[in-house]
Amino acid sequence: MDLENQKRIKDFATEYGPENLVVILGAAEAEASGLAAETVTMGDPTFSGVLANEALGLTTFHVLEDQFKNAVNADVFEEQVGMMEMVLEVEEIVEEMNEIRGEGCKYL
Amino acid sequence: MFNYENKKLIIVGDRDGVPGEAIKECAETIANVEVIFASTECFV
Repeated sequence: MDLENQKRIKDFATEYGPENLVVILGAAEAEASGLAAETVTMGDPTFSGVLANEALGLTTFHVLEDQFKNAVNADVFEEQVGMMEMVLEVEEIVEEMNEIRGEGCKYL
Repeated sequence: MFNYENKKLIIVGDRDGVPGEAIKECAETIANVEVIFASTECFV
């Protein structure tokens, strides 16, 4: 994950409390989704940003997961995300996100 | 189903996946949540 975003997320966790934050990801691939999810739960696996060794345990979903898709307006989702939903490997992304959440989310 | 009530949302979109602005448009349709940050990263 972008180093500046890591810093922002750490600051938000301090300001609002980690239990009040939800990170929504739009990554194109399962691997990238998993890396970003791991960064905001168990810490930066590349050890390059401020979230290295920082297990915030934030709640995180990918935009294509039901936990997000079913919470938003269906027409807006279709208009904004529908095309990418057809192109991306949704099952792989969901599997990866479930695995990371199971290991690292503290507030579910 | 996850309860978003009073949550603060951080959106990390992807240039090659779903951009932050598109996710934000969707997120803003959820009642009682606040999008506090939205960006579009390039994961390449």
